[in-house]
Amino acid sequence: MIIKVIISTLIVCCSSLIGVIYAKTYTERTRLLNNIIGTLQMLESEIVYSATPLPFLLKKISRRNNTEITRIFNSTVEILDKKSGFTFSEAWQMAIKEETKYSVLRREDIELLIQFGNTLGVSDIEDQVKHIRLAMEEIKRSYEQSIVEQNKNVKMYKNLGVLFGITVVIILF
Amino acid sequence: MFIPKISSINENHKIEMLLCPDVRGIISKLPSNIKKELEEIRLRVDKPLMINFDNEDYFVSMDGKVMDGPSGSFIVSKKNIENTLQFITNYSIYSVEEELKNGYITVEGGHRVGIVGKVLCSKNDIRSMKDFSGLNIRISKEKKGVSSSVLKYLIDNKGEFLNTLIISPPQCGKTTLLRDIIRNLSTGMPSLGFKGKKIGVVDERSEIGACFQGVAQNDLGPRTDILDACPKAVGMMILIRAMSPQIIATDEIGRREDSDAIEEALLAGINLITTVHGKSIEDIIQRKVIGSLIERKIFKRIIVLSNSKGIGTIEKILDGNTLNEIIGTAIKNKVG
Repeated sequence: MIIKVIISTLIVCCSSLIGVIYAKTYTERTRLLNNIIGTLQMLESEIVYSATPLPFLLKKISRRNNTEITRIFNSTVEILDKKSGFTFSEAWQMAIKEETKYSVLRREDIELLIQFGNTLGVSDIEDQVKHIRLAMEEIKRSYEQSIVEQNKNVKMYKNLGVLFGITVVIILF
Repeated sequence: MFIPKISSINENHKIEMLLCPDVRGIISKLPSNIKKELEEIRLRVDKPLMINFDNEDYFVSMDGKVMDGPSGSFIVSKKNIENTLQFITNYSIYSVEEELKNGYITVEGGHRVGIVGKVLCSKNDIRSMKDFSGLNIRISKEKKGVSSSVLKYLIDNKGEFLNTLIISPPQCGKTTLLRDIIRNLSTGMPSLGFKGKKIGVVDERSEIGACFQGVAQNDLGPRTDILDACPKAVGMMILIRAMSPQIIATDEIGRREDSDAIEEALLAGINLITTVHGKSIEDIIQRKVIGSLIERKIFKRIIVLSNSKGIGTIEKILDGNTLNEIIGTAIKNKVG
Protein backbone atom coordinates (compact mmCIF):
# COMPACT_ATOMS: atom_id res chain seq x y z
CA MET A 1 0.00 0.00 0.00
CA ILE A 2 2.68 2.45 1.09
CA ILE A 3 4.64 1.71 -2.07
CA LYS A 4 1.53 2.39 -4.15
CA VAL A 5 1.09 5.76 -2.50
CA ILE A 6 4.73 6.65 -3.06
CA ILE A 7 4.63 5.63 -6.72
CA SER A 8 1.42 7.52 -7.38
CA THR A 9 2.67 10.71 -5.73
CA LEU A 10 5.84 10.35 -7.77
CA ILE A 11 3.86 10.03 -10.97
CA VAL A 12 1.65 12.98 -10.13
CA CYS A 13 4.67 15.07 -9.17
CA CYS A 14 6.52 14.23 -12.38
CA SER A 15 3.64 14.93 -14.69
CA SER A 16 2.80 18.19 -12.97
CA LEU A 17 6.46 19.14 -13.27
CA ILE A 18 6.27 18.48 -16.99
CA GLY A 19 3.19 20.68 -17.07
CA VAL A 20 5.05 23.46 -15.25
CA ILE A 21 7.99 23.19 -17.59
CA TYR A 22 5.68 23.43 -20.57
CA ALA A 23 3.95 26.40 -19.03
CA LYS A 24 7.27 28.00 -18.31
CA THR A 25 8.23 28.23 -21.96
CA TYR A 26 5.36 30.69 -22.32
CA THR A 27 6.30 32.89 -19.37
CA GLU A 28 9.96 32.69 -20.37
CA ARG A 29 9.24 33.84 -23.89
CA THR A 30 7.20 36.76 -22.61
CA ARG A 31 9.98 37.74 -20.24
CA LEU A 32 12.62 37.45 -22.94
CA LEU A 33 10.67 39.50 -25.46
CA ASN A 34 10.17 42.15 -22.81
CA ASN A 35 13.91 42.08 -22.23
CA ILE A 36 14.66 42.51 -25.90
CA ILE A 37 12.40 45.54 -26.07
CA GLY A 38 14.22 47.12 -23.13
CA THR A 39 17.61 46.38 -24.64
CA LEU A 40 16.62 47.84 -27.98
CA GLN A 41 15.53 50.96 -26.18
CA MET A 42 18.96 51.21 -24.60
CA LEU A 43 20.55 50.65 -28.00
CA GLU A 44 18.50 53.45 -29.47
CA SER A 45 19.35 56.02 -26.86
CA GLU A 46 23.04 55.13 -26.95
CA ILE A 47 23.15 55.49 -30.72
CA VAL A 48 21.30 58.79 -30.67
CA TYR A 49 23.17 60.42 -27.82
CA SER A 50 26.68 59.11 -28.03
CA ALA A 51 27.01 57.55 -31.49
CA THR A 52 29.25 54.86 -29.99
CA PRO A 53 30.43 52.30 -32.53
CA LEU A 54 28.57 49.00 -32.28
CA PRO A 55 31.28 46.75 -30.82
CA PHE A 56 31.81 49.10 -27.85
CA LEU A 57 28.11 49.71 -27.53
CA LEU A 58 27.14 46.05 -27.48
CA LYS A 59 29.84 45.31 -24.94
CA LYS A 60 28.63 48.16 -22.77
CA ILE A 61 25.01 47.04 -22.82
CA SER A 62 25.81 43.40 -22.21
CA ARG A 63 27.82 44.35 -19.16
CA ARG A 64 24.69 45.84 -17.60
CA ASN A 65 22.62 42.68 -17.61
CA ASN A 66 22.82 39.07 -18.55
CA THR A 67 19.99 37.79 -20.67
CA GLU A 68 19.79 35.84 -23.85
CA ILE A 69 19.86 38.97 -25.98
CA THR A 70 22.96 40.35 -24.29
CA ARG A 71 24.61 36.96 -24.70
CA ILE A 72 23.95 37.34 -28.42
CA PHE A 73 25.55 40.79 -28.22
CA ASN A 74 28.55 39.37 -26.48
CA SER A 75 29.25 36.61 -28.91
CA THR A 76 28.73 39.00 -31.83
CA VAL A 77 31.42 41.25 -30.40
CA GLU A 78 33.67 38.25 -29.89
CA ILE A 79 33.35 37.32 -33.55
CA LEU A 80 33.90 40.92 -34.68
CA ASP A 81 36.95 41.35 -32.47
CA LYS A 82 38.70 38.53 -34.28
CA LYS A 83 38.52 40.73 -37.39
CA SER A 84 38.43 37.75 -39.66
CA GLY A 85 36.44 39.63 -42.24
CA PHE A 86 32.85 38.94 -41.26
CA THR A 87 30.45 41.83 -41.67
CA PHE A 88 28.26 42.82 -38.79
CA SER A 89 25.19 41.04 -40.11
CA GLU A 90 27.16 37.85 -40.68
CA ALA A 91 28.60 37.93 -37.18
CA TRP A 92 25.18 38.71 -35.76
CA GLN A 93 23.62 35.77 -37.57
CA MET A 94 26.34 33.42 -36.37
CA ALA A 95 25.91 34.64 -32.82
CA ILE A 96 22.15 34.17 -32.96
CA LYS A 97 22.48 30.65 -34.33
CA GLU A 98 24.92 29.81 -31.57
CA GLU A 99 23.04 31.39 -28.67
CA THR A 100 19.48 30.43 -29.52
CA LYS A 101 20.08 26.69 -29.83
CA TYR A 102 18.09 25.96 -26.68
CA SER A 103 16.05 29.10 -26.70
CA VAL A 104 12.38 29.46 -25.91
CA LEU A 105 12.20 32.04 -28.69
CA ARG A 106 10.17 30.94 -31.65
CA ARG A 107 11.52 30.80 -35.16
CA GLU A 108 9.63 33.97 -36.08
CA ASP A 109 11.28 35.86 -33.21
CA ILE A 110 14.71 34.69 -34.30
CA GLU A 111 13.95 35.57 -37.90
CA LEU A 112 12.99 39.04 -36.76
CA LEU A 113 16.23 39.48 -34.85
CA ILE A 114 18.28 38.36 -37.85
CA GLN A 115 16.40 40.83 -40.04
CA PHE A 116 17.13 43.54 -37.54
CA GLY A 117 20.86 42.71 -37.57
CA ASN A 118 20.99 43.30 -41.30
CA THR A 119 20.07 46.93 -40.77
CA LEU A 120 22.16 47.64 -37.70
CA GLY A 121 25.12 49.94 -38.28
CA VAL A 122 24.75 50.38 -42.01
CA SER A 123 23.18 53.83 -42.11
CA ASP A 124 23.06 57.20 -40.38
CA ILE A 125 21.57 57.86 -36.96
CA GLU A 126 18.16 58.91 -38.21
CA ASP A 127 17.82 55.75 -40.21
CA GLN A 128 19.10 53.59 -37.39
CA VAL A 129 16.46 54.96 -35.07
CA LYS A 130 13.78 54.11 -37.63
CA HIS A 131 15.01 50.56 -37.92
CA ILE A 132 15.23 50.10 -34.18
CA ARG A 133 11.73 51.51 -33.69
CA LEU A 134 10.38 49.21 -36.36
CA ALA A 135 11.99 46.17 -34.77
CA MET A 136 10.73 47.28 -31.39
CA GLU A 137 7.20 47.65 -32.77
CA GLU A 138 7.25 44.15 -34.15
CA ILE A 139 8.67 42.61 -31.03
CA LYS A 140 6.09 44.46 -29.00
CA ARG A 141 3.39 42.85 -31.08
CA SER A 142 4.85 39.40 -30.45
CA TYR A 143 5.15 40.31 -26.80
CA GLU A 144 1.49 41.19 -26.52
CA GLN A 145 0.54 38.05 -28.32
CA SER A 146 2.80 36.12 -26.04
CA ILE A 147 1.04 37.53 -22.98
CA VAL A 148 -2.32 36.46 -24.33
CA GLU A 149 -0.99 32.98 -25.02
CA GLN A 150 0.62 32.89 -21.64
CA ASN A 151 -2.61 33.69 -19.86
CA LYS A 152 -4.41 31.08 -21.86
CA ASN A 153 -1.87 28.31 -21.72
CA VAL A 154 0.05 28.53 -18.47
CA LYS A 155 -2.88 27.52 -16.33
CA MET A 156 -3.96 24.92 -18.82
CA TYR A 157 -0.58 23.19 -18.99
CA LYS A 158 -0.18 23.23 -15.25
CA ASN A 159 -3.63 21.71 -14.73
CA LEU A 160 -3.10 19.32 -17.57
CA GLY A 161 0.08 18.11 -15.95
CA VAL A 162 -1.57 17.38 -12.62
CA LEU A 163 -4.65 15.86 -14.16
CA PHE A 164 -2.64 13.67 -16.49
CA GLY A 165 -0.67 12.38 -13.52
CA ILE A 166 -3.85 11.58 -11.64
CA THR A 167 -5.31 9.85 -14.71
CA VAL A 168 -2.27 7.65 -15.05
CA VAL A 169 -2.45 6.77 -11.37
CA ILE A 170 -6.15 5.89 -11.62
CA ILE A 171 -5.60 3.74 -14.69
CA LEU A 172 -2.61 1.97 -13.15
CA PHE A 173 -4.16 1.13 -9.82
CA MET B 1 71.53 61.08 -43.79
CA PHE B 2 70.00 58.54 -41.45
CA ILE B 3 66.26 58.33 -41.54
CA PRO B 4 64.41 55.84 -39.36
CA LYS B 5 61.94 53.65 -41.14
CA ILE B 6 58.61 52.68 -39.68
CA SER B 7 58.05 48.96 -39.78
CA SER B 8 55.84 48.72 -42.78
CA ILE B 9 54.81 45.10 -42.43
CA ASN B 10 52.76 45.81 -39.36
CA GLU B 11 51.33 48.97 -40.87
CA ASN B 12 50.30 47.14 -44.00
CA HIS B 13 48.53 44.52 -41.99
CA LYS B 14 46.45 47.22 -40.33
CA ILE B 15 45.50 48.69 -43.68
CA GLU B 16 44.50 45.31 -45.04
CA MET B 17 42.22 44.93 -42.03
CA LEU B 18 40.19 47.85 -43.36
CA LEU B 19 39.37 46.05 -46.58
CA CYS B 20 36.62 43.55 -47.21
CA PRO B 21 37.81 39.91 -47.47
CA ASP B 22 37.81 39.78 -51.29
CA VAL B 23 39.90 42.89 -51.74
CA ARG B 24 41.99 42.09 -48.68
CA GLY B 25 43.01 38.81 -50.28
CA ILE B 26 44.12 40.55 -53.45
CA ILE B 27 46.03 43.35 -51.76
CA SER B 28 47.82 40.90 -49.49
CA LYS B 29 49.09 39.11 -52.61
CA LEU B 30 50.87 42.23 -53.88
CA PRO B 31 54.65 41.97 -53.94
CA SER B 32 56.05 43.25 -50.67
CA ASN B 33 58.16 46.00 -52.25
CA ILE B 34 54.98 47.49 -53.76
CA LYS B 35 53.12 47.11 -50.48
CA LYS B 36 55.76 49.23 -48.84
CA GLU B 37 55.39 51.99 -51.42
CA LEU B 38 51.59 51.92 -51.56
CA GLU B 39 50.05 55.38 -51.40
CA GLU B 40 46.42 54.82 -52.31
CA ILE B 41 43.96 52.00 -52.73
CA ARG B 42 40.95 52.98 -54.76
CA LEU B 43 37.64 51.16 -54.95
CA ARG B 44 34.94 52.26 -57.35
CA VAL B 45 31.67 50.48 -58.02
CA ASP B 46 31.92 48.20 -61.09
CA LYS B 47 35.35 49.59 -61.91
CA PRO B 48 38.74 47.92 -61.68
CA LEU B 49 40.61 47.92 -58.38
CA MET B 50 43.28 50.58 -58.55
CA ILE B 51 46.36 51.28 -56.50
CA ASN B 52 48.73 54.20 -56.56
CA PHE B 53 52.42 54.26 -55.81
CA ASP B 54 55.31 56.40 -56.98
CA ASN B 55 52.67 58.87 -58.14
CA GLU B 56 51.42 56.47 -60.80
CA ASP B 57 48.15 54.57 -61.12
CA TYR B 58 48.10 50.82 -61.56
CA PHE B 59 45.41 48.19 -61.76
CA VAL B 60 45.46 44.94 -59.85
CA SER B 61 44.40 41.54 -61.12
CA MET B 62 42.62 38.80 -59.20
CA ASP B 63 45.90 37.18 -58.17
CA GLY B 64 47.62 40.36 -57.06
CA LYS B 65 49.47 41.17 -60.29
CA VAL B 66 50.07 44.86 -60.92
CA MET B 67 49.17 46.04 -64.42
CA ASP B 68 49.21 49.27 -66.39
CA GLY B 69 45.92 48.71 -68.19
CA PRO B 70 42.51 47.88 -66.75
CA SER B 71 41.89 44.69 -68.75
CA GLY B 72 41.93 41.53 -66.67
CA SER B 73 41.82 43.39 -63.41
CA PHE B 74 39.62 42.68 -60.43
CA ILE B 75 36.28 44.50 -60.69
CA VAL B 76 35.05 46.03 -57.46
CA SER B 77 31.38 45.43 -56.67
CA LYS B 78 28.99 47.52 -54.63
CA LYS B 79 29.05 44.82 -51.97
CA ASN B 80 32.85 45.18 -51.70
CA ILE B 81 32.50 48.87 -51.02
CA GLU B 82 29.71 48.43 -48.50
CA ASN B 83 31.62 45.76 -46.60
CA THR B 84 34.86 47.70 -46.66
CA LEU B 85 33.01 50.68 -45.28
CA GLN B 86 31.79 48.50 -42.42
CA PHE B 87 35.33 47.66 -41.40
CA ILE B 88 36.48 51.25 -41.82
CA THR B 89 33.70 52.63 -39.64
CA ASN B 90 33.96 49.87 -37.05
CA TYR B 91 30.66 48.38 -38.27
CA SER B 92 28.84 51.61 -37.44
CA ILE B 93 28.31 54.14 -40.16
CA TYR B 94 26.19 56.23 -37.83
CA SER B 95 29.20 56.81 -35.59
CA VAL B 96 31.05 58.72 -38.32
CA GLU B 97 28.10 60.72 -39.56
CA GLU B 98 29.79 64.06 -38.92
CA GLU B 99 32.95 63.01 -40.71
CA LEU B 100 30.94 61.68 -43.62
CA LYS B 101 29.63 65.17 -44.25
CA ASN B 102 33.21 66.23 -44.98
CA GLY B 103 33.66 63.27 -47.27
CA TYR B 104 36.45 61.53 -45.41
CA ILE B 105 37.14 59.51 -42.31
CA THR B 106 40.41 59.31 -40.45
CA VAL B 107 41.09 55.84 -39.15
CA GLU B 108 43.49 54.45 -36.59
CA GLY B 109 47.05 54.91 -37.76
CA GLY B 110 46.26 58.25 -39.36
CA HIS B 111 45.18 56.88 -42.73
CA ARG B 112 42.39 58.70 -44.44
CA VAL B 113 39.53 57.26 -46.37
CA GLY B 114 37.82 59.52 -48.87
CA ILE B 115 34.23 58.57 -49.63
CA VAL B 116 31.87 59.53 -52.41
CA GLY B 117 28.28 58.57 -52.96
CA LYS B 118 24.87 60.13 -53.16
CA VAL B 119 24.70 63.23 -51.01
CA LEU B 120 21.50 64.14 -49.19
CA CYS B 121 21.07 67.86 -48.70
CA SER B 122 18.81 69.87 -46.52
CA LYS B 123 18.77 73.58 -47.27
CA ASN B 124 22.40 74.53 -47.88
CA ASP B 125 23.86 71.86 -45.73
CA ILE B 126 24.96 68.36 -46.47
CA ARG B 127 22.85 66.17 -44.26
CA SER B 128 24.42 62.81 -44.99
CA MET B 129 25.63 60.50 -47.68
CA LYS B 130 24.35 57.16 -48.87
CA ASP B 131 24.71 54.75 -51.80
CA PHE B 132 28.46 54.90 -51.55
CA SER B 133 30.14 54.50 -54.90
CA GLY B 134 33.81 55.10 -54.32
CA LEU B 135 36.46 54.82 -51.66
CA ASN B 136 39.99 56.11 -51.66
CA ILE B 137 42.18 54.79 -48.89
CA ARG B 138 45.12 57.15 -48.58
CA ILE B 139 47.90 55.55 -46.69
CA SER B 140 49.60 57.99 -44.42
CA LYS B 141 53.30 57.55 -44.04
CA GLU B 142 54.82 59.47 -41.27
CA LYS B 143 58.22 60.18 -42.72
CA LYS B 144 60.31 61.25 -39.83
CA GLY B 145 63.36 63.12 -40.96
CA VAL B 146 62.11 64.69 -44.20
CA SER B 147 62.70 68.14 -42.79
CA SER B 148 66.32 67.55 -41.75
CA SER B 149 67.71 69.23 -44.85
CA VAL B 150 65.65 72.41 -44.48
CA LEU B 151 65.57 73.00 -40.75
CA LYS B 152 68.85 74.90 -40.58
CA TYR B 153 67.48 77.50 -42.99
CA LEU B 154 64.41 78.16 -40.83
CA ILE B 155 66.30 79.38 -37.79
CA ASP B 156 68.23 82.62 -37.57
CA ASN B 157 71.60 83.04 -35.93
CA LYS B 158 70.01 83.93 -32.60
CA GLY B 159 68.25 80.58 -32.55
CA GLU B 160 64.83 82.08 -33.31
CA PHE B 161 62.36 80.46 -35.64
CA LEU B 162 61.55 82.42 -38.80
CA ASN B 163 58.01 82.62 -40.18
CA THR B 164 57.83 80.05 -42.94
CA LEU B 165 55.60 79.41 -45.92
CA ILE B 166 55.67 76.13 -47.81
CA ILE B 167 54.52 76.31 -51.44
CA SER B 168 53.74 73.04 -53.13
CA PRO B 169 51.56 71.44 -55.79
CA PRO B 170 49.27 68.66 -54.52
CA GLN B 171 50.86 65.34 -53.55
CA CYS B 172 54.38 66.66 -53.28
CA GLY B 173 54.74 66.05 -49.58
CA LYS B 174 53.74 69.45 -48.27
CA THR B 175 51.85 68.19 -45.25
CA THR B 176 54.47 65.55 -44.57
CA LEU B 177 57.18 68.21 -44.53
CA LEU B 178 55.11 70.52 -42.35
CA ARG B 179 54.44 67.70 -39.91
CA ASP B 180 58.09 66.85 -39.57
CA ILE B 181 59.07 70.48 -39.11
CA ILE B 182 56.45 70.79 -36.36
CA ARG B 183 57.79 67.70 -34.65
CA ASN B 184 61.34 69.04 -34.72
CA LEU B 185 60.39 72.53 -33.54
CA SER B 186 58.38 71.02 -30.72
CA THR B 187 61.08 68.59 -29.67
CA GLY B 188 63.94 71.06 -30.08
CA MET B 189 67.13 70.64 -32.05
CA PRO B 190 70.20 70.72 -29.83
CA SER B 191 72.52 70.47 -32.85
CA LEU B 192 71.19 73.82 -34.10
CA GLY B 193 71.00 75.34 -30.63
CA PHE B 194 67.24 75.44 -30.88
CA LYS B 195 65.22 74.75 -27.77
CA GLY B 196 61.78 73.24 -28.22
CA LYS B 197 58.90 75.70 -28.46
CA LYS B 198 55.23 75.48 -27.58
CA ILE B 199 53.37 74.87 -30.80
CA GLY B 200 49.69 75.20 -31.56
CA VAL B 201 48.42 73.30 -34.57
CA VAL B 202 45.11 74.11 -36.23
CA ASP B 203 44.41 70.94 -38.13
CA GLU B 204 41.34 71.83 -40.16
CA ARG B 205 41.52 68.83 -42.45
CA SER B 206 42.88 66.44 -39.83
CA GLU B 207 45.89 65.80 -42.01
CA ILE B 208 48.75 67.02 -39.88
CA GLY B 209 48.03 65.11 -36.70
CA ALA B 210 45.51 62.70 -38.21
CA CYS B 211 43.51 62.49 -35.02
CA PHE B 212 41.54 59.33 -34.40
CA GLN B 213 38.97 59.84 -31.65
CA GLY B 214 40.78 62.99 -30.61
CA VAL B 215 44.23 61.46 -30.29
CA ALA B 216 46.91 62.43 -32.80
CA GLN B 217 48.15 59.38 -34.67
CA ASN B 218 51.28 61.12 -35.88
CA ASP B 219 54.10 62.22 -33.65
CA LEU B 220 54.06 66.01 -33.43
CA GLY B 221 56.46 66.37 -30.54
CA PRO B 222 56.01 66.90 -26.81
CA ARG B 223 55.10 70.60 -26.83
CA THR B 224 52.30 70.51 -29.37
CA ASP B 225 48.61 71.27 -28.87
CA ILE B 226 46.26 70.24 -31.64
CA LEU B 227 42.87 71.68 -32.47
CA ASP B 228 41.43 68.97 -34.62
CA ALA B 229 39.01 69.68 -37.49
CA CYS B 230 38.77 73.33 -36.48
CA PRO B 231 38.37 76.10 -39.07
CA LYS B 232 41.74 77.83 -39.35
CA ALA B 233 40.82 81.42 -38.51
CA VAL B 234 38.73 80.51 -35.48
CA GLY B 235 41.26 77.92 -34.43
CA MET B 236 44.16 80.35 -34.49
CA MET B 237 42.21 82.75 -32.28
CA ILE B 238 41.37 79.99 -29.82
CA LEU B 239 44.99 78.92 -29.64
CA ILE B 240 46.25 82.47 -29.13
CA ARG B 241 43.85 83.00 -26.25
CA ALA B 242 43.84 79.57 -24.72
CA MET B 243 47.17 77.85 -25.19
CA SER B 244 49.74 80.67 -25.43
CA PRO B 245 51.74 79.05 -28.23
CA GLN B 246 55.07 80.40 -29.46
CA ILE B 247 54.54 79.05 -32.94
CA ILE B 248 51.27 78.41 -34.76
CA ALA B 249 51.16 75.87 -37.56
CA THR B 250 48.35 75.44 -40.06
CA ASP B 251 47.78 73.86 -43.41
CA GLU B 252 46.67 75.63 -46.58
CA ILE B 253 45.75 79.18 -45.74
CA GLY B 254 44.15 81.45 -48.30
CA ARG B 255 40.88 82.87 -47.09
CA ARG B 256 40.22 86.45 -46.08
CA GLU B 257 39.65 85.64 -42.41
CA ASP B 258 42.87 83.61 -42.27
CA SER B 259 44.83 86.75 -42.93
CA ASP B 260 43.08 88.56 -40.06
CA ALA B 261 43.91 85.72 -37.73
CA ILE B 262 47.54 85.78 -38.86
CA GLU B 263 47.60 89.50 -38.15
CA GLU B 264 46.34 88.79 -34.66
CA ALA B 265 48.94 86.09 -34.11
CA LEU B 266 51.77 88.38 -35.24
CA LEU B 267 50.56 91.08 -32.86
CA ALA B 268 50.75 88.56 -30.06
CA GLY B 269 54.36 87.87 -31.03
CA ILE B 270 53.68 84.39 -32.30
CA ASN B 271 55.63 82.85 -35.16
CA LEU B 272 53.95 81.10 -38.03
CA ILE B 273 54.45 78.18 -40.29
CA THR B 274 51.91 77.41 -42.95
CA THR B 275 51.48 75.94 -46.41
CA VAL B 276 49.76 76.93 -49.62
CA HIS B 277 48.89 75.14 -52.86
CA GLY B 278 50.83 76.44 -55.82
CA LYS B 279 53.64 75.80 -58.25
CA SER B 280 55.96 78.74 -57.79
CA ILE B 281 56.39 81.98 -55.92
CA GLU B 282 55.23 83.98 -58.96
CA ASP B 283 52.05 81.96 -58.99
CA ILE B 284 51.39 82.64 -55.31
CA ILE B 285 52.15 86.35 -55.31
CA GLN B 286 49.17 86.89 -57.64
CA ARG B 287 46.79 85.63 -55.02
CA LYS B 288 44.99 88.18 -52.94
CA VAL B 289 45.39 87.08 -49.36
CA ILE B 290 48.60 85.15 -49.44
CA GLY B 291 50.15 87.49 -51.99
CA SER B 292 49.72 90.49 -49.74
CA LEU B 293 51.19 88.55 -46.82
CA ILE B 294 54.29 87.85 -48.90
CA GLU B 295 54.53 91.44 -50.12
CA ARG B 296 54.38 92.68 -46.56
CA LYS B 297 57.32 90.39 -45.88
CA ILE B 298 55.59 88.49 -43.14
CA PHE B 299 57.18 85.24 -44.17
CA LYS B 300 60.94 85.21 -43.76
CA ARG B 301 61.47 81.88 -45.43
CA ILE B 302 59.61 80.40 -48.38
CA ILE B 303 60.11 76.75 -49.28
CA VAL B 304 59.03 75.61 -52.74
CA LEU B 305 58.39 71.90 -53.24
CA SER B 306 58.01 69.97 -56.46
CA ASN B 307 57.96 66.52 -57.95
CA SER B 308 60.95 66.98 -60.22
CA LYS B 309 63.15 64.49 -58.39
CA GLY B 310 60.46 62.38 -56.77
CA ILE B 311 57.92 63.27 -54.13
CA GLY B 312 59.08 65.88 -51.66
CA THR B 313 61.80 67.45 -53.78
CA ILE B 314 62.83 70.78 -52.29
CA GLU B 315 62.96 72.97 -55.35
CA LYS B 316 64.25 76.08 -53.62
CA ILE B 317 64.27 78.02 -50.41
CA LEU B 318 63.76 81.78 -50.63
CA ASP B 319 64.50 84.60 -48.27
CA GLY B 320 61.13 86.25 -47.70
CA ASN B 321 62.57 89.77 -47.37
CA THR B 322 64.50 89.92 -50.60
CA LEU B 323 62.97 86.96 -52.43
CA ASN B 324 66.50 85.85 -53.17
CA GLU B 325 67.25 82.19 -53.36
CA ILE B 326 69.05 80.79 -50.35
CA ILE B 327 69.36 77.47 -52.06
CA GLY B 328 68.50 77.37 -55.73
CA THR B 329 69.30 73.82 -56.70
CA ALA B 330 66.69 71.20 -56.09
CA ILE B 331 67.37 68.76 -53.28
CA LYS B 332 66.13 65.24 -53.73
CA ASN B 333 64.38 64.48 -50.49
CA LYS B 334 62.87 61.07 -50.83
CA VAL B 335 62.45 59.19 -47.62
CA GLY B 336 61.30 55.76 -46.54
